[in-house]
Amino acid sequence: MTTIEPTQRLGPGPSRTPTSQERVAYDACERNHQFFLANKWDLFDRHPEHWLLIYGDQTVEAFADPLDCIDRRDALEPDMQATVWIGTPDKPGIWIL
Amino acid sequence: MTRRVEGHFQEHDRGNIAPPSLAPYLVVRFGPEPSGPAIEALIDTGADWTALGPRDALTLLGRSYLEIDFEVAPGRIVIAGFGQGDTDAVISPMELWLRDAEGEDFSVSLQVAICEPSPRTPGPHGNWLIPSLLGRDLLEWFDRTLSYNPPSATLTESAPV
Repeated sequence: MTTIEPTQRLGPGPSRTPTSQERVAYDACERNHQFFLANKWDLFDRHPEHWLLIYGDQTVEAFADPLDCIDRRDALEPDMQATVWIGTPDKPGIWIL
Repeated sequence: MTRRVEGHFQEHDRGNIAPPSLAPYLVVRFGPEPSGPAIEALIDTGADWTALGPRDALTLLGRSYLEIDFEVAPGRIVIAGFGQGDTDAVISPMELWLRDAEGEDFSVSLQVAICEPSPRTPGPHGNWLIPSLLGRDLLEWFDRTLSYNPPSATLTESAPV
């Protein structure tokens, strides 16, 4: 392992209360995340393209090219972008970390 | 007040190679505001540094990620342990946002390693399969509770020394 000491010790900052708009967007994103976690194998089976863009109220779009997925995300309205969860394939294999 | 952040466990299907495994994850958001892209990162006490894997780096940085020349980029380092062999990466200061159990957001400033994709082309291969890692540079600020039965993952901000 390479060990590098940062030149400056960094850490947690103060808390801040999210705005109502941030809270709505956060909750929508979290719903889409939970939707992805609960359904990802079924979603990947149904959408073999495998890069899934989930936004708004569980709208799912699938892309073969991840860059198309990112471009589509970037083209969404800013409010909608905040609700995005992107799911990517979880393929068999052993991670060597 | 001590801040506490809840993570979650996720199961990974290893096909016919091995039984599914459970691993602890935390959702973090990157950017100047807490409404930045949400990334699901593996809690990895074995990692020195917090590292962005290719999938999440592409999600976060868009096409510009694939244009980084890791041979000459400022902040270039070589890291071991992110996949097989050595991996080139660039270190970049970033804000990670966490939401505590009270619903308050707070950020953690870190130097994050952005790993070079290998192979270059996005897909379900190479280190594109490796998740982003929350390393000890972030975890050192928290006491960690990980339980496999029932699965739960909690980070609690350590009291100042």
